[in-house]
Amino acid sequence: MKISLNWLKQYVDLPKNITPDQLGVDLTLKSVEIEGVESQGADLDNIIVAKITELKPHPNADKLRIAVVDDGEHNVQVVCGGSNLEVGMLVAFARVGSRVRWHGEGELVTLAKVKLRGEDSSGMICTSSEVGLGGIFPAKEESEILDLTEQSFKVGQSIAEALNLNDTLLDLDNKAITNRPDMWGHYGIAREVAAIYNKKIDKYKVKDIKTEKLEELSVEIQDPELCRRYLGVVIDGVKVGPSSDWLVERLQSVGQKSINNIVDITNYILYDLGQPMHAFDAGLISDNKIIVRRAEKGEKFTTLDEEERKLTEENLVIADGDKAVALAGVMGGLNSEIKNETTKVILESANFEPFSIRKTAESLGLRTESSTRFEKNLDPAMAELALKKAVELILDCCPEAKVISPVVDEYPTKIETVKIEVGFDFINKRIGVQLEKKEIEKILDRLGFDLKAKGDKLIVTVPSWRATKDISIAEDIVEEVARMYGYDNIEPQMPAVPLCIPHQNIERELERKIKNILVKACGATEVHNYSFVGDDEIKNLGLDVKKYVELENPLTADQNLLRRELFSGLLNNVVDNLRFYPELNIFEIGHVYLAEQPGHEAGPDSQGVLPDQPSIAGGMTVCKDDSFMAAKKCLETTMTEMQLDFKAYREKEVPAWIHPKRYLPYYVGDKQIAYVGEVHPSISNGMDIDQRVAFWRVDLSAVSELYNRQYKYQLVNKFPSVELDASITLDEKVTWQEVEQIVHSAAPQFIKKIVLFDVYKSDKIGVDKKSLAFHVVYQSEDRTLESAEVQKMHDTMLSQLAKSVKAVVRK
Amino acid sequence: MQEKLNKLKDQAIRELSLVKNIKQLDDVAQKYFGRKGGDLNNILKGLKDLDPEARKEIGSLANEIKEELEAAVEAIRQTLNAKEVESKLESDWLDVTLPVDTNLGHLHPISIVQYELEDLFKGLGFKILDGPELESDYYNFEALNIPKHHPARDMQDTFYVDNSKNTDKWVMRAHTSNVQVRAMKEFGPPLRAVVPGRVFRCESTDASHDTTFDQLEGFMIDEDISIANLIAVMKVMLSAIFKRDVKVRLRPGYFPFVEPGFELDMQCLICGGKGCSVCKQVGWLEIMGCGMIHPNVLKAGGIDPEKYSGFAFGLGLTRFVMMRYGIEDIRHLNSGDLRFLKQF
Repeated sequence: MKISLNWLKQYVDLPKNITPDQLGVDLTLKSVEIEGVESQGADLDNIIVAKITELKPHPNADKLRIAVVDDGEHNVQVVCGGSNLEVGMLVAFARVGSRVRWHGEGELVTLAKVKLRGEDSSGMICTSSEVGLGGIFPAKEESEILDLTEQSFKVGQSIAEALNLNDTLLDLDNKAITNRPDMWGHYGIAREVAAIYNKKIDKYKVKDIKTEKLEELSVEIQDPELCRRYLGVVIDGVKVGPSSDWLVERLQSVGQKSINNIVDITNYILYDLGQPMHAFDAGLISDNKIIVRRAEKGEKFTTLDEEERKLTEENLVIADGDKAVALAGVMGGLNSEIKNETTKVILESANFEPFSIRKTAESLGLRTESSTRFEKNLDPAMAELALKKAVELILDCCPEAKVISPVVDEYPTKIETVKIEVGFDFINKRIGVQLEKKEIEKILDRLGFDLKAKGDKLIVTVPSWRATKDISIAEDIVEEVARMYGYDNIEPQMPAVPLCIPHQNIERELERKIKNILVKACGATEVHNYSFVGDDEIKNLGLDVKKYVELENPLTADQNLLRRELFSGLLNNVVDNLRFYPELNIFEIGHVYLAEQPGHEAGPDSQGVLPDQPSIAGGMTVCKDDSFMAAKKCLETTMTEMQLDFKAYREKEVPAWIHPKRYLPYYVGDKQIAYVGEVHPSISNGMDIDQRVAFWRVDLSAVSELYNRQYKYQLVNKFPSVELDASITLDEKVTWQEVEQIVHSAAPQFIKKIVLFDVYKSDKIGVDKKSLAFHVVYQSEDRTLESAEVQKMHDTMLSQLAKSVKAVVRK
Repeated sequence: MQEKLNKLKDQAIRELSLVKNIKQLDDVAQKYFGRKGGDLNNILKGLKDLDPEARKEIGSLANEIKEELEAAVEAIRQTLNAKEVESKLESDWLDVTLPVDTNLGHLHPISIVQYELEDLFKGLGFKILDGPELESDYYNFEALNIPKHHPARDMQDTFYVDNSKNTDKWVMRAHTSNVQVRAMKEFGPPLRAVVPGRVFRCESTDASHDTTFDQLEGFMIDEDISIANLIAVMKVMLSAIFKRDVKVRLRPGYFPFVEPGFELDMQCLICGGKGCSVCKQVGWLEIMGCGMIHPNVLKAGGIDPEKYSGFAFGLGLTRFVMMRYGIEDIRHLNSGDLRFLKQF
C-alpha cells in the first residue's frame, strides 16, 4: 500500500528533524515494515516546461526533425523524433545534465550535448515515460511527446513544480498489517505516527448530517452475523462529473485512477479512513429498499467489472426487493452503477464479518481493495465516520445536492468493549526491563488506551479501532509497551535457568553417525530428494498406486503421491548423474509415509492417528567392479557402525524392483531391518541404464528401537593361534555362507576366524564350478594347541566339506 | 708373534682399503674377527700357550690392533652406508605430484549447517527433536493459534491430504513449529528444544522458492523468559553461525503463534550496515520470525501461561545454507546433482 506523506501531514505534524527516510525506519521498527521511501520529483531535476518555437526537417534523417525550444532562458536547438511535434506546443524539456530513461526503459541516463546525424542537439524533448510520468500521462504510442499545451504552465517552470510533484510515498508491506485493521488508511497511520513521536492528533473530523427526510430508506439485515452494521442514506440532486484537483491528486498519489466525483469520494474515504463504501444509483434500486442477505444457490450476478458470477449461499449480497445489487464488501453490481446521468444516490457504509468476505473473495477470485480491508475485521465505529465524511464531501462538490432520507443505522451485532487487566510487573518481566509505572502509562495513553490503575495493575480499555482483532490479552499490551519503548532499547540478557539432564534422541544420533561413516568410510555422497513421487514412476516400478497417500492439491502431476520408499528418487538421481560420472555412490536419509501403519497421534479432538513415517536410510551404487558388493559394503559398514548384531540369509521372496538372484535381506533377531539387492534389469533397462545398479536400505526407526550401546570388552586371548589355509573347488551355487557354516561346525570351540581371500572361476576347473581359498584361524582359550591336533581338526573340516557340498580339496 | 700380529694388521688395513661395499666389508671383517677361523682370533687363541709375561705383552698388543681394526671397519661401514643411501635416494625419485584418491564422500550442505546448529544448541542444553512431516491440521494450525479461516491456511500455501476418517484434513507440515505443542505435551516445562526438518509449501517454484525446504524451529519455556532473553539467544546463535559478533534488531511482525511477534534482522555482514546490493541498501537482512510463545499455544501444550513463558523462533535452514555458500538457486538442493553436491 502506498502512503502519501502529504496526506499524513494533513493529520499529524512530523518533528522537524525527521526525514521521510527516518520516518520509514521508525515505522518499520515500531509498527509496520516500510519497504521503500520514494520522493515523487526526485529524478526530475533540470527537466522543465519549454515551448517549441521553430520546427524544420532534419537534412540527413526522415524520421527526425530539428526543433528550437524556448526554455525560459535561451533558445536551444534539439533533434527530436517525436511524432506529434508542433510549433507553439508546451513540452517537457530535459536540459543537458538532466537524467532521463531512454524509451522509458533501463537505468537513468545523463544527457550531454551531442551531434545527431550531423546536427547539434542540446537536451531532449521527452515522452511521458522517459521522465517517469507514464502513469499520469499515458502515451498512445511510443514516439508521442508529452503535450503540456492544455495545462496552464509557465515556460521555464520545473516539471516537478508544475505538476505539484512534491509528495513522498512510503511503500507499506500489506502483509505486515494483516493484524492491524486500523492501519488500512492514512488517518490510522497518522495516528500511529503521532504515537511514535508523541504528537497530538485530532479526532477524525466529521459533521453531523442534515437531512430533509423527504424519502424513506429501508435497510433489512437478514444475517446479522455476517453484517454487523449497515448505514445508508439517500442524496438527491447530485451532479456526476470530474473531481476537484485536490481529490484527483490524493487518489493519484496512491495510484488510484480518478473515475467521477461520487466514486472518487468513496474511494478517497477508503484510503483516508480505511473504510470501504459504496454508492448506488438510487434510480436503479427499487423502492429505496436495501436487503442484506445470503445469495441463493446458483444466483447469477454481474459485478462492476462486467463479469457474470455464479454465487452460493456462502456469499453475502446487498439486494433490493427484486435483485442483488452488490456483492457485499467485495464489489458493486453493474446494474446499479453510478453513471454520468445519475442524480440520486444511496450511500452505503457497512461492517461485514471478515471470514465470509474472505471466503467470497477467494472463491470468486475477486480480491479488491474493499474485500482486503473487510477481511481484516474493521472497527464498526468507522462506518459511521465514513458515512458522515462522504456526505460532507458530496455536498461540498455538489452544492445543489440534498440529503433526502433519514440516516439509517442498523447495528445488530455490537462488538464488546475490550478491557484487559495487566500488572506492571508482568509487563516488565515479559520484556526483561524495569520501566517506571509512569512510563508504561504514558506509552499506553499515547496509543489511545484508556487506563485505570488498580494497585500494581492496570485496567486497560482498548480503543474500538484496536479491539476487533489485534488486542485482546495481556501479552498484547506487553507488545504495545515494548515496541513503543523500542526493541533497540532492550538490553540482551542470556536466560538464567537450572542445568538439566541432556536428552538423547537415538534416531537422530544414529542418522548422524551413519551419514558420517557413509561419507568418510564409503565415499558416498548424500542427496536429498522430494517426498513426492508421481503416478507414472510408481506404475513403472510395478507398484500399486493405491497404497500411496495422495495429495489433494499437488503442484504437478508427477508429484502427487507421498513416497513409500527412497528407491525411485535415488534411481532418478542415478539416471541423471550417469551422464557425468561413470561410477556413483549416493545415499539419502529421509522419511517415508505408510498409511497402513499407525504413527503419531493426530490431536486431542480426533480419534485418528497419522500414517507411520519411519526414517529410512538408503543408497545406490554403480561401480565398474561390482555394484552389488559396493552397496553391500555401504550397508554393512552402516550396520557395523550402529553396533548391530545382524545376520543375513538368502531369501526367495524379493521386492518387485530387485533382481531375484541378487538380493540379500538382513535381520536383527528375527526382524528384517535392511536389505541389499541389484535393481531389477527390467527396470534399469526401461530407464536406459546399461550398468548394474545396486540398492541398499535400512529402516532406521526400527534400528533405533533395537539399538543398545552397552557392550563389554573380552579378555585378550593369550594362547597362540594357528592359521591354516584351505583351497577347495565346488559347485558355483554353494554360497560362502554355507561353506562358512560347515567350516565353523567342524570345530566350533576352536575356530575363531574364517577369512575368504580368493574366489576363482575358470573353464579349467569346470563350468558351473568355482574355487575358494580361505584361512582358518584355530585357537583355544585355555591352552596352546598342538599342531597335530590342529591338523586333525583341519582335515575333519575338509572332509566335512567334501561330504556336505562335494567340495574337492585342492592341494 | 709380535711380528705376525703387525703383519696381520698391515694386511687387514690393505684389504680394508680395497673394500667397495658392505658385503666385501663384512667378508674382510669375518676373515679377521670371525669367531670361527678369524685370523686375529686364531692368534689370540694361541695366547694360552705363551708364558704369562709374553701373554700379557702380546695380549695387549693384540687387543690394541683389534680395537684399531674394528674402528677402521666401523668408519668404513659408515662411509659405505652413507654412500649407499645417497645412491638409493637418486633411484628413489618419485613423481610426488601424482594425484591420490581420498575416497571421501560429501554430506549434503543442509546436513553440514544443520549439525553445526544442533551442536550449538546442544551446548546450550536444548533437546534435538523430531516430528511428523505429514501432520494433522491440529498440530500444524489449530494448536498454534491459527484458527480455521486464517490466511495461512490458503490452498495455495499448504499441501493437503484427504483423510477419509476425519473431517479435519492432514497437511504436509508448513513449518517445523508443528512440534512445539507435541513437545510440550511430551516433556512439559521447563523445556528447551530445536527441531530441524523439512517443510512443505504448495507454491510455484523458482530460484528462491521450492515446494520442499528445511527449517530449524527452536523454543525455550521456563519461568520469566523475556524478550531480552530472546534477543540474547538469537545474538549468540547468529554470532556462532557467522563466527563473529553480529548486530541484530527486532521489529514488529505478526505470527499467530507468538505474542508479541517479531521479524529479526541481522546487520548486513557485507557492508557492516552501510547499505549494499546484498541488503538492498537497507543495511539489514531479514533473517527469521520469532516471538514470545502465545499463551493459547502454551495452554494447548498443557503449560500454565501464568507460571511459564517462552520464546520461539523459526530459522530458515535452507536460506542460511544458500547465504553461507552463495547458492543462487534453491532447486540445486533437492536436485541430486552430484556436480553440485560434490562441492561440499
